[in-house]
Amino acid sequence: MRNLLCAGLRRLVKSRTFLFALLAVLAYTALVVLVCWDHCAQGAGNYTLEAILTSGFGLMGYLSVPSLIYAALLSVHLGADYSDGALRNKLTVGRTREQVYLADLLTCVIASVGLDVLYLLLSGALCAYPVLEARGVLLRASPGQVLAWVAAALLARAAWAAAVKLTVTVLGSRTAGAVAALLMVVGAMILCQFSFSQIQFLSNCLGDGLPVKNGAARLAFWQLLMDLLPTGQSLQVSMLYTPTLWRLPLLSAAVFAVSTGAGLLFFRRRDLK
Amino acid sequence: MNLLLKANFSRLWKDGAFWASLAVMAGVGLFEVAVGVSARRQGISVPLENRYFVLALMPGIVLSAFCSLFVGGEYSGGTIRNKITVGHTRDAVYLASLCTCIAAGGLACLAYIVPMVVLGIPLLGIFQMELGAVVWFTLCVFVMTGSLCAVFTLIAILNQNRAVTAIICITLAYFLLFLGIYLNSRLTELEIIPAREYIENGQILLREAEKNPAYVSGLKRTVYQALYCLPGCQAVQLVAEAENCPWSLPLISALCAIGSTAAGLALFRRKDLK
Repeated sequence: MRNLLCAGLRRLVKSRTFLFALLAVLAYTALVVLVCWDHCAQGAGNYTLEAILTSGFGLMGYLSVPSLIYAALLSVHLGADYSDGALRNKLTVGRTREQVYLADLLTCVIASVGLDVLYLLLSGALCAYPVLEARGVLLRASPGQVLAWVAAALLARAAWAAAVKLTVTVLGSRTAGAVAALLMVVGAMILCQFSFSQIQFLSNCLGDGLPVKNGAARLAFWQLLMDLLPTGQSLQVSMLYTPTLWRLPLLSAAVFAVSTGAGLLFFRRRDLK
Repeated sequence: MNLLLKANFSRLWKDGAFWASLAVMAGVGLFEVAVGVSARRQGISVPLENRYFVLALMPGIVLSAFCSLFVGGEYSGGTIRNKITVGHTRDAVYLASLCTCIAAGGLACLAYIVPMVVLGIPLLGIFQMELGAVVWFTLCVFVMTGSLCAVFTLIAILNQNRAVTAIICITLAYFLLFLGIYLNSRLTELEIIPAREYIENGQILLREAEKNPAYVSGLKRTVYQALYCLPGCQAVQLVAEAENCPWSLPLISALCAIGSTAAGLALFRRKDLK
């Protein structure tokens, strides 16, 4: 499986899609850094480095820009296996379907988490000094809390990559995979935005003692939905609002396991023509 | 061109992406009615137009996927070469594809409007806004949809890789929509923050009116306003100013559609179809 993983990573890194994704991530990082520098110079905004770092998982609380970039990258990379016939070649030379699936999945996880880490390193390095100078403090949250947020968001990214892999496997086409992955991202963003508005409304009502039918149960439902969706987790981290941080890694692991299990089951029976 | 249109429409009725687009638009329409009904049950008054205006935000995203799949299918199926081989001009092929996409866009908008009106009026009541303003808003949305279809057709017909076309179109649709949201938030900033009272340490203090540092002025404002009128961004403007949509918006949309079609025709004439 190591050979498959190395081959997958090499093909990914050499592809033009990866180059475009890398440029898009760099452009996104530059945008966040420039806005931060501008705010620090003008004395506007009142955020510290944790807000910059977690912007790598979402912007303004509802825009999961990196997910859009990775959706395009992963779906084109994975779909190319079907359109180029590389998948059949791998099976012909004796690899098992499980090995092929898991190697592709690991390639996706490494690529998406790697690009996230690149954002974290670049934005952290470029914004640390201006933030420290403008605010007098680098972090308002404890370093442990920031690490926990970043770890939870990276796990959510891995779970999200597993969901994209499952989608492309089920659709078995580069174009359909790309369309579905991109629409999935925007669908999840809209759903999370709606869930968040419901959470705010129900929390306010319950906090003020207003009568809401099944208020507590509905609040728990919307919070669970936000926690279960990898995009929801990423957006919560980007807002630095994670009331149930302890369960986010568990739910990410569950999403990862279920997506991988379902994908493996489907891929074993799939007719590759 | 009549034959091309007939062929395109007969392909359209069998196209899965088309029916999926209609289903998504109808589903969102039903969802919006359900949101209105749910809010009403919680004692919040929701006029029908409040849910109806979401229509403007939908066509960009849905049609970006549809146009790239439908027009891109001409390349992957090899039908575009067949059409040219049997004697149709490139202009006719382009315009037929554009007309089909615009018609599909109009039908997609109707797929949202029909459940919204049929279920929304009995459940949420009639429009509280003047009917003329609702019709004008709807007309503006239709023209914007046509303009977006023209842009997506241009991208799809100039790119032979269907997956790349889909990614470019969908990303462009998102980008324009979120750019519109950003521009709306910047352009609606007040120039002067009014004087206000606030309480600090139990004392009522007065803060005098001051200049808003976030207010965008000068050339930057002109550029922002120009970008805000682009078809995708226009969706946000249509929602924000739905009660009195400026007449310039459909005009700008129509100009964009004509410009992108002219550019598309010029480039498609020279394209190597391999």
